Amino acid sequence: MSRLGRALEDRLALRAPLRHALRRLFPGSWSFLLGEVTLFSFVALLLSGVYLALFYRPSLAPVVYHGSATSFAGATVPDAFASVLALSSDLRFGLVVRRFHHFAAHLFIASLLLHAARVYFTGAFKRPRELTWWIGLALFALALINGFTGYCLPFDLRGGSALRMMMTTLESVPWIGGWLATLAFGAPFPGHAILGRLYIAHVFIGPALLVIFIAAHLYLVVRLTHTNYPGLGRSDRTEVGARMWPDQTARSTTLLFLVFGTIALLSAFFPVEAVAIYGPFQSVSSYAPLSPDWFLMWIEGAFRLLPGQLDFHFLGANFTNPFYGAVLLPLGVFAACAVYPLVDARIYRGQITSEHLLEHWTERPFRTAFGVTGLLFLVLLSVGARNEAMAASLSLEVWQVNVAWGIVTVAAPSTIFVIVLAALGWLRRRRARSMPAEYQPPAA
Amino acid sequence: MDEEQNVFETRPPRRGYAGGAVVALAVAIGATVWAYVEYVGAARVSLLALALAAVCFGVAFTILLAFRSAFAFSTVQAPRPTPTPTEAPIDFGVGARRGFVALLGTAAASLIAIVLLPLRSLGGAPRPTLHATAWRRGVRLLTVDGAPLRPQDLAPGSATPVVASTAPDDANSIAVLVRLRGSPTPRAYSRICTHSGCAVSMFRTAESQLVCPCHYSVFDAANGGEILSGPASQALPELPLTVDADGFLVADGDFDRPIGPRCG
Repeated sequence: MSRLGRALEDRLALRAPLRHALRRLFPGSWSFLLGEVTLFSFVALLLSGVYLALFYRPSLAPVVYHGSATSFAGATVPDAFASVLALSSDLRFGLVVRRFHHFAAHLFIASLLLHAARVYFTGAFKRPRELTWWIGLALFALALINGFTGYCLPFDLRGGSALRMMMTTLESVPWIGGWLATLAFGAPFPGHAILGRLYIAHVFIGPALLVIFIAAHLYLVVRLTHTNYPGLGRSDRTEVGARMWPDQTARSTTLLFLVFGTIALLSAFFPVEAVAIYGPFQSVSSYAPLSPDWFLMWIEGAFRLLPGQLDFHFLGANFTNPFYGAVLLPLGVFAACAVYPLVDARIYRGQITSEHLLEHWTERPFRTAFGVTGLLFLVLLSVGARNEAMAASLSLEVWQVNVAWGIVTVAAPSTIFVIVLAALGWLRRRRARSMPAEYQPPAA
Repeated sequence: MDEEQNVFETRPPRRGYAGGAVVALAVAIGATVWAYVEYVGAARVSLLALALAAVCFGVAFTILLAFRSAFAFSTVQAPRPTPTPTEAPIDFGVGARRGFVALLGTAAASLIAIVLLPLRSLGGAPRPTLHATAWRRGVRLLTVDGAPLRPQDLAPGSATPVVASTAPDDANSIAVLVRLRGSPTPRAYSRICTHSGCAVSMFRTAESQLVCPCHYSVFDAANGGEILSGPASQALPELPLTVDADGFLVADGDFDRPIGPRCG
């Protein structure tokens, strides 16, 4: 071992930089581990995804299924669907790995969301870390897109319907929609090309971009140092935390296996064999209730809640519901997140005294109110994606629920915005009054 | 300030980690054995996943135990190694030579153009293929099992999907045949929702409404597929019907408007 170390040192002279890297500090708060959970679920996704990719066939060609899934014995189904069935029913560990991949994806996006929320509400995106935030947003978008392509691939009724909506979404882009749809699908729906293209997007382009952006994100985290919650010994010139070696290495590797274990535990207790329940996609069929995965429910909610009366024709182009719900809404949400650091810097100009210390959410009324409003809006939209369930339980027509829930979806976040802003503003003024003059923040 | 200023050491007990590792190992072995002795199918899958989880947790405990045996855990306060910006930004030394940027820009633009050209081969022109159907005057309506239909085959107050006899697999041509209560003849509508392209697969008999279960667009089957509510903004295209010499239902032309969602 020491000879190997000697040999490497003679050639690469890594001792000094490595020693420097291993002495870097990592903050102790649990909330800093959310990003690591995201990273480790991505590792879980890569590992299980490579295994699944060995058995999946991205083809729509009809084949006769001869396997142990008895409900499809002798049935003619798309090859992709048959390969997922075979993976789930005929392969010794296939279903374990499929479930593992499924829950890794859900944990990846959920922890990404929590990590982003922590960064947002503590102001960790502020100068000099805007670039880290923007790369994180790109990662979020990529994660959502890869989640979507992933659940389309089995070409079950749910995936196929989602693909149909993706084509509609492309088609709905004003002026160029028709070209986008035919360039993506090659032909009228479903065509023969789409699954092959989606497969490449899901197993190569998406993961490659994710890896590149994750590397950039981590580079910036290391380069700019971690933020710290305010406290004894923490300032712009000093930081407090655990050394990369041995403390943080112990914590991170432990966390890696805790994440894997949690994903495996979810796979054990929450079976996902929905592919066989939905059956293969057929153009004559649809299924009710049909919902995307939870992380895309907000888009589905917009599809359902926005009435057809909003559609209009302008300069030879049609502006329609799918364009609002699946193009404008996501663009708007991501644009709002992207410009927010600049807005925040303007609003709190002169009040932000530290680059590296985090702020408490009660200290920044507008930031907190805006974040809570945005999250609530997306949650309410997502709940709107189950308008048929609300209608059934209230014995109403779906359109009546749409009107009522549409009002709630707009009114509740606006109300919350005003309430949070007012309450935190009051709290801030009260604190300022009760603080001795020498602790008062410098005037703006 | 080259060295750290403060180090706080803690030594959590080791026994918990060792116990956790042992329990995890026992669960892993137990679940695997149980999976193969007792179960097949989904239950075995769940137990194998449980065993996998136990192995992962066991590894986590073992790693903690190993580190804990070798080191004390410590919290450290140290100088923050932030990058220090210099007064002058990076200078690549091309400042006055504006031709440099222009030439590089031209090179990049040509490269992008030549890379974009092959993308054209990904798909054909959108019109008319996106909304083309196989329905022509005289094309028979078939059930999804391939049987031709007579007007009276469909019970009053029911609906069934139909395909074009000339192109039974064409997704654009799929239609729904409905026979309203108290009506002697059926009517046919496109089965592709004009909102986002799902199959309009629900029929409310009492109200004569066709409903898309994806986003709940509601169309009036008694009145040319007009929109009653929901996110769709175009009526459901209707297929004109007639009967051929053998008494089977045939199309009397294409749908009265383009099928499916409109291009933007």
